[in-house]
Amino acid sequence: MVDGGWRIVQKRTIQSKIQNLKSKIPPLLLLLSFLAAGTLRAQTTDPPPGVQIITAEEIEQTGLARLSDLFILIDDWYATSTEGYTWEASANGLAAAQEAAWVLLVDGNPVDLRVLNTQNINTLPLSLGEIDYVEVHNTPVFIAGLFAQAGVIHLHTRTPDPVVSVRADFAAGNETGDPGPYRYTGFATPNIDRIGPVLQGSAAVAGDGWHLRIHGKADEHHATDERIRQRVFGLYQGLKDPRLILGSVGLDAGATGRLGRHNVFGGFARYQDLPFFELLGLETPTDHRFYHGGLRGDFHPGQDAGMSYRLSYTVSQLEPRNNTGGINLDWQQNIMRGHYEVRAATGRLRGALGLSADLYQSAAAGDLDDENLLIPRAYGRFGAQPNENANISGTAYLTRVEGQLGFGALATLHLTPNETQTITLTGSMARQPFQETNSLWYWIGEGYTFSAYRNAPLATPTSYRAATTYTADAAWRIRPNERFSLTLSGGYRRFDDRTLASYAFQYDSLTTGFFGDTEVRNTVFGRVTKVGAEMEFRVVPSLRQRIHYAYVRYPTQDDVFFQAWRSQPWHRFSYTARFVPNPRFSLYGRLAYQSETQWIAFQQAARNSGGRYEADLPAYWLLDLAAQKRFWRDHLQLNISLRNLLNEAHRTHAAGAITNMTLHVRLQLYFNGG
Amino acid sequence: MGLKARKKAEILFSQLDAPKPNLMRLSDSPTLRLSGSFLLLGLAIAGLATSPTQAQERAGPFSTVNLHVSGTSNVNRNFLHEFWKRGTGVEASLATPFYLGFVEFGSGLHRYEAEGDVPGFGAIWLYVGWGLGASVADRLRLESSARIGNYHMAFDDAATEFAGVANESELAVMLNARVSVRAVGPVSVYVSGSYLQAYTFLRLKLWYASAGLSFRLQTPEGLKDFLK
Repeated sequence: MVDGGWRIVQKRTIQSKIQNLKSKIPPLLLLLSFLAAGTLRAQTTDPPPGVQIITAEEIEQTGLARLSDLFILIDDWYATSTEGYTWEASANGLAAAQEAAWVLLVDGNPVDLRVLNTQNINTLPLSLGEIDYVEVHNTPVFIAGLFAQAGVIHLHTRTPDPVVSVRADFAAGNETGDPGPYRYTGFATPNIDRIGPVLQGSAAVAGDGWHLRIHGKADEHHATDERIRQRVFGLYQGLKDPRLILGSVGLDAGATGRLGRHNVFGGFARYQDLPFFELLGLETPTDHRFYHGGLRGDFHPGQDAGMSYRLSYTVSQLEPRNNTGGINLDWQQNIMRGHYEVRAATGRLRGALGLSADLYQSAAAGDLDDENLLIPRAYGRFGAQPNENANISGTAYLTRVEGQLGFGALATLHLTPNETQTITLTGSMARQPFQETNSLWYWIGEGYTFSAYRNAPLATPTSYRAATTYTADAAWRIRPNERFSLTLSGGYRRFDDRTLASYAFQYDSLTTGFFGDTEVRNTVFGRVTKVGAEMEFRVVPSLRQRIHYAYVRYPTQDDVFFQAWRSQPWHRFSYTARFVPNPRFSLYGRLAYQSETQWIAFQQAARNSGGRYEADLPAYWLLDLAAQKRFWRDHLQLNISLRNLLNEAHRTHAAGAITNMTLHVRLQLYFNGG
Repeated sequence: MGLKARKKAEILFSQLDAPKPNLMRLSDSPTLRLSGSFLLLGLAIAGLATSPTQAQERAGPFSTVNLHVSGTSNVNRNFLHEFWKRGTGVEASLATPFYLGFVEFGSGLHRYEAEGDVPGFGAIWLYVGWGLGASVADRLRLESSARIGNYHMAFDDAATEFAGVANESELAVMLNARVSVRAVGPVSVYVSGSYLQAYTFLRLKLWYASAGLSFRLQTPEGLKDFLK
C-alpha cells in the first residue's frame, strides 16, 4: 500500500462522502460504521497493518484492465492460473489456493462467485472503472456477518457524480511471440493470440442522497498456449480457436436519508468457460451463468444505536458448451443469505449482536442425499478504547450445521504507543464444520457424480469432520514522518482436521491432459509460518516507492498439506514506484520476484510428458512498466503498459500457459453533466 | 538472431517435429550487430548529452506541433530477407513538447514483396514515442526517441486454412535518431535512422533510413486544451 493510498481514500471516501452526510447521520453512527467494517483504528488514518488499500488512482496508473489483475497489486496474496484468466488465490498463508476460501465483498455484500472450489473474480458483474478503492484483509476479520478467516477482498464502488455520468472503457493486450510472416515459411510457430478486448461501461444518475447505476462488460481471453490448446481440443469443438467469453450486466441503486442508507443491487454474468478441473485432468467446456441480487441497509433510529440488514440471492449454473465429450457438469446452486445486526455504543464501549443464515440449495448430476444445506449463525462483537493509545475488539460466533457445532473467536488489539508507532495483534480460532465450506467434496459426498465422466479414481472421506484453525498475527509499524514508514509483521497458522485433496497425476498422451488418483483427506494437519516487511518512502513528493518482502514456510509433517502448499513460493519480493509529476501524467514500475515452486502432484506426469510439463517451476522476476496520460480535461485517459518486460517465459501453474512479455492498452472515457 | 531466440527455436522445432532449419543461417552478420550497437550507443549519448534545459522545449508542453512526413527504406538484410525483399514505405508523425522532451504519435506503412513462395505483406506501424532533442547550431537540430506500438501485418494471400491469419499484430519497439535542418520558416528537412524490433517468435529486426520534411505549427488552442 503506497503511502498516500489510504489517505486518498480517507480524503475522498470518508471526508467527501461521509462528511456530506454529517447533517443527516449522527456522528456516532459513523463510528459504528467503522466498527461494522471491522477496520476501526485507534488514532491514525493509515490502514491498519494487515489491510492493504488499492485506490482507483493506483488501478488507473498501473493500467489494470480486469478484476483479476488486482492480484498483481495485492502483496500478501499468491495466485496461480492455468490460462491467465481464472486465478486461484491464497491469502497470506491463511488457506491453500485449492480451497478458494477467500471472501469477496462488494460494498459490504458477500458475493458467492465460488463454484465447485473455484472462484473467478472476473465473473463478478462489475466494471473495474466503477471501483473507488479495494480493501484487502490479509488477516482474519469478522465482516458483513461472516467470519472470514482466509482473507477478504472488499470492493468499494464509486459514488456516482450528481445528475448524469457515463463511463466507457476499452482495454486489450497482446502477448509477444507470434509467428509473424514466418507462418508462411517452414519456420511457422504456434500463434499466440491477444488478451481481450475488454469492453466495460456504465451509466449513472444521481441526486442528493440517491443514485441509480447500470454497468456492463464484455471480455475475451484466448487459450492459445499450446499446452492448453491441445488439452482443450480434447473436449471442445468450435469454429474458432478456443476462447473464454464473458459478458455481464449489473445495476445498483442506493438512497441515504433520515432512516439510514439502503441499497439494492443485481447482476447477471454469462461466462463461456474452459475451466481446468484437476479431478477431470483437462479443460471442460462449460457455460456458466451467474445471477445475483439483493438489498442491504443501515438504520440509525437513535444517537447511540444502529442496525443493519442484508438479504441476497445467488444462482450459479453450469451447463455444457460445445462439448464433444458429452460432459455435462449439470450443476446448479441457489444461495440465499440473510443477515441482521444491532449495534450500540456508550462511552468508550461499543457492541453488536447479529444473526445470519445461509441456505444452499443444490441440483446436480446424480441423486443428492440432501439438496439443502442450512447454516445459521449467531454472533456478538464488542469494542473498547480503554485509553487514547489502545483499541481492543473481539468477536465470537456460534453455528450448528447438520448436528455439528461450529464456533470461532477473533480478538484484535491496536496500540499506538506514540504518534509514530502502531502495533497490531490479532488472534483467531475457529472450529468449522466441513459442510460450512460449501466444498465440491461435500457435494460429491452427498451424491454429486462430478468425476464419473472420466472414471477418475476418487477417494473421499466417509464422514465429515470439523476443521480447527488457529491464527496469530503481529505487526509493528513506524512512521517517523510523512515520507517514510516501515512495517514488520509475522504470523502463525495451525490447521487441524483440514479437508484437502491430494492428486497423483499421470500424463495422458491421448489428450495431453492428466489422469490419476485423487484422495480427499479430512484429517490433514499443518502449520504455516510467515514473516514480512514492507517499507514505503518518498525521496521526492512526486515519487512514491514501496518495497515488500514475504517469507512463507510450511513444514512437511503431512504429505497432503505439503503438496497443497508447496505450489506456493517461499519468498516473494516486490519493488513498486509511482512517479506522478503532474496530476495528468504518471509513470509506474514494479519489479517482482517469486521463488521456485514444486507441484508434487504433477511430478510423475511431468516425467512422462516429454518436456511438455514441468513439476518444478523455477523462480522468476517480473518487471512491469506503465505510463498514463489524461486528456481532454480528464474526459479521456490513456494507459500503455508493458508487463513482463524482462520477457521471462514463466508460468504460475504446472499445467499452465507460458507467459511472455505483453503490451496492454487501456482507454477510458468519462463524462458527467450536472 | 540472438542465442536465446535460436535456443528457443531449436527447442520448439524439436517439439513440433517441423523441418529443422539451419539456424546458423538465421544469424545476423557480426557487422550489423556491431553497427546496431554503435547506433544504440549514439542514441544514448545523444540523450545524455541533451541537458534538461536544452531538451525542455522553450515553450510549454503541447505549445507546438511538428508534422513529419518521410519516405523510408529498409536497409539491412537478415533472415527475413530470405523470403521477402527489402521494403520501402512512408511514415508520418506528430510531435509536440512534453513536460520533459517531446512525445510523438505516428504511423508508418512498410511494404515487403515476396522473394519466394510466400505472400507479400504490408505492415502498418502505429506507435507512441518519447524523446529528447537539442539544437546544436542555428538551424541544426538533433533528436532521438524511443517508440512503442503495434506492428500490424496484412498478408496478400488471405486464403489460409485458419481464420484470421491473413493478419498478424505484434508488439514492436523502435529507436530513432533524426537530424533536421531548418530550411524556410517553419519547414525543415531531415534524415533519420531507425531500428525496429517486432517481438514475433523469430524477431523481426529491421533498420530503416528515412528522409523527409517537417512542418512546425503553433498548436491550435482546442488541441492544446485536449492534450493538456
